[in-house]
Amino acid sequence: MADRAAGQGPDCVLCGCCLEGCPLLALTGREELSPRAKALLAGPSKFTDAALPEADVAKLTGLCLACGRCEKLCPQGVKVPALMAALRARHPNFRQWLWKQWLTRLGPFWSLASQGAALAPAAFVPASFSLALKGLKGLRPGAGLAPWLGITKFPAQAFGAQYAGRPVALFDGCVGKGPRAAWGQTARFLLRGLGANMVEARFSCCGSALGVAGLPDEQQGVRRENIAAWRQAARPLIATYCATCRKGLAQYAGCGLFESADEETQFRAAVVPLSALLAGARAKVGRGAPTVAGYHRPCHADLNDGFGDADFTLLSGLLGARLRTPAKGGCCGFGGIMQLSAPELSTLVGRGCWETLDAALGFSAAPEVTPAYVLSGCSGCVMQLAATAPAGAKVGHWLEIIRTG
Amino acid sequence: MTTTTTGASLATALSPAHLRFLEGLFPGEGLVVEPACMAVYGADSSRRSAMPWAVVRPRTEEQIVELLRWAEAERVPLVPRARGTGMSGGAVPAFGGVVVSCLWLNRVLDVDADDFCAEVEPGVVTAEFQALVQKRRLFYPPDPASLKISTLGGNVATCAGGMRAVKYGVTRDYVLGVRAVLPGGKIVTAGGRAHKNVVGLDLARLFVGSCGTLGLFTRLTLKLLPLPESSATLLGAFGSLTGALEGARGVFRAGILPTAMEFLDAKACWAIGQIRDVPWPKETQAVLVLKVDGSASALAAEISRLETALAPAGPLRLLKGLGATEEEPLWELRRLVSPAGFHLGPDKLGEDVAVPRGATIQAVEGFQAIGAEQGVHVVCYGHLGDGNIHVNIIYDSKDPDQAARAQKSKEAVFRLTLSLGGTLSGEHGTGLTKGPYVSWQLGENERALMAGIKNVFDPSGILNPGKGWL
Repeated sequence: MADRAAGQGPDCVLCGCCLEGCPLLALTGREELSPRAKALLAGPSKFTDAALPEADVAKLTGLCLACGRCEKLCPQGVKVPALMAALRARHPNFRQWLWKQWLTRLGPFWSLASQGAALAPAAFVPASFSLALKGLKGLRPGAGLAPWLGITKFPAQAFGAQYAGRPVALFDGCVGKGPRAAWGQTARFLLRGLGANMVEARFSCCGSALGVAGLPDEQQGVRRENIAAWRQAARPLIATYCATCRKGLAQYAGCGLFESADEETQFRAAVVPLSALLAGARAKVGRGAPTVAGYHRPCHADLNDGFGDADFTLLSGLLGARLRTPAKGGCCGFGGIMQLSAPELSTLVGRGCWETLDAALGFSAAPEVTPAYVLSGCSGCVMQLAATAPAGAKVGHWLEIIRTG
Repeated sequence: MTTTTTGASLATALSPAHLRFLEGLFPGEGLVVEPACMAVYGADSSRRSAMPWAVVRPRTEEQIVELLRWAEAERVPLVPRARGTGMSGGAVPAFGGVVVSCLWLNRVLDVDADDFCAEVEPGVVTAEFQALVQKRRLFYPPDPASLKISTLGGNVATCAGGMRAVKYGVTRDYVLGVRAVLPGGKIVTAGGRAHKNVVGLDLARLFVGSCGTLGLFTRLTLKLLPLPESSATLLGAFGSLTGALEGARGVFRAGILPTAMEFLDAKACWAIGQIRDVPWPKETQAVLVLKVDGSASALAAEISRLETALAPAGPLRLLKGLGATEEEPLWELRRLVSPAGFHLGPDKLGEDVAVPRGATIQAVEGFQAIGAEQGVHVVCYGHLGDGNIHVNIIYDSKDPDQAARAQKSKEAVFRLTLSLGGTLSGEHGTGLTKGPYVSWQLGENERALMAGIKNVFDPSGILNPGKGWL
């Protein structure tokens, strides 16, 4: 028997508080997939007299959705997704290489890739790629939702009062730049409506998926590019419309790439969700609107930055009772690298998420009358929900319902 | 790996034939043998750990029957486990064996609003079960602090207590029936759906708190109550521990039986303040949290009665919460105290002694004095209403002298508790961490009787060896 060894930084005390939030544990009943199991393996070995095969540890710790729910529950401040990323970084293997290719090479061409995905016969797609490709098929150009919400009043005055002509740059992220360029167009339309002083910055990927995949060098690389682009654009506000990008950017704090603590604070304060800038907007529901629109709360939306889930706040203000969301939202199961390392687990979590949505929206009772219609505010969630959706379901980013004409 | 030290005839490792058997009985993901995957199954919230020989995940009672038939024949120790959130090492396979995870036995089989009972499998998460029966306006009162992460099976195996015990009692009071499989594969059905039952010895209650040493549960019949319409919470901060305890006395004297009556001492308040914003003033030395339940219309009056009852003790601040949404933040603070304690030091001995209710003040003051004398942090908090005090001794194990003083403090706490007529464990169970001290409390005759009972259920001693009271 071995006693707990003291470690560097916050150490897991095995209290199990994290067990409440982990979507993988909830859906599989496999305790080895729980955050506690991973923290136990990632920390200094608590099993000093039973050496664990490194390959097994690496394999197991790869099975994390990086949803971050456990982090919020941990009284010790243990960050299991970050621990997993660090472990992956130490155990580079084929899957990470694959993911790196995916993100760094395919990233700029995602619109092409998704068109290709639509054409690729299922039999030729490697099994581990199939779910990711299915998600991309859901994102192929032209597959978006038809818009039905017209903004009747922009909160231009409040926006002007708060930001007083400060330049605003949109952070498009991989999906908004690639297969869903329409999101970026709508977002720019909304910023124009606010009377924002818009500037363009040459932003890259936010880097969070690279970090989670265990590619810290590449992550630092894109962070450096983004900080440089922000400086070049005279340090504007950075408006985001993807919850994961927003979280990814918030995590630049402490990355050691800023000139000074002041600059770091300034960057942190510059990251705002686009939806928060639109607080107080009014809208009119037009033709083609669903009777009930579901909202999927991204795990990464609930950031402790004072904005909360700003997308939900905006949408519930605009849509009222038409918008419904499960009281206890489920993780979609996108999980970055897990799409490639354990697609079956990713699918399982996705299915659980749709069941939770169904309990709140009730679409399975009469799919022909009220088909599933789900909005979200995170690229990963939109991809994953599209990939795991029941037949006939419609899934999209909330930007897709906004009329720009 | 520790070799078996109990039951001389028990197997000391799994043979290839054993593994082949387990592979056949638990196909696919049902059997786990990779050490990296098994590691977590060897640990629990006591922070003790030992590597299991294998982990199995039954989905059916038939598998459990076969498993116990085999384990008895082969003398293979079995360690039942649910979420592993116990505080005393009850789920740690310290003496070797196959861990039996019951997380795949997680169905709620029946909730009956007329019988006021429910039938569940052991792997159901307690808070999820409570939420489910609440939808039918039914109430399952036991609420261990771990309720969001622990299971009904684990709660029954440890006779989990909780904050509502002062009014509603503990898990034992809600177990009407237990269906369990014994070594050799025999199925026993103890108790049933009747709320009163005096035919024969009370075997169902014997299973409660038995720490997996008598049988493996496959089905539990639980008693339910009508759901109180609403509840309200009052949090009072006091300038002294005596003030808080006087306040508590005042509440009972006023004829109020609260649903919960919890207290936090000065160190507990400080530790929680390290991880959350706290609503009490800096000079706070003790906090009382009281809950009352009943009809919504009566609760406002009940809260003002509580305020009146507390007033003579001179609270520094009183915070009220009416209804679950307002109450939750106040209770969340209380639930965080156990993990928050680690902000005082990296290692902890978590004791949960209970004393006769009238001796609570004497006990808490005595425990704090022990800490001061030994130079370690002693954090006291818990269920003031029923005399069940959590005593956390916090220290740094890297300092051998401090570790020795922590151990001395633990023993001094036990001695004081017993001298006051108390018990070494009110709700965590004795498991591994308190096992060696059981003989301080239980006499030879009582222990011999318990050993005899164990022997009737499990003659070879294959179930969770080395745990409990022997």
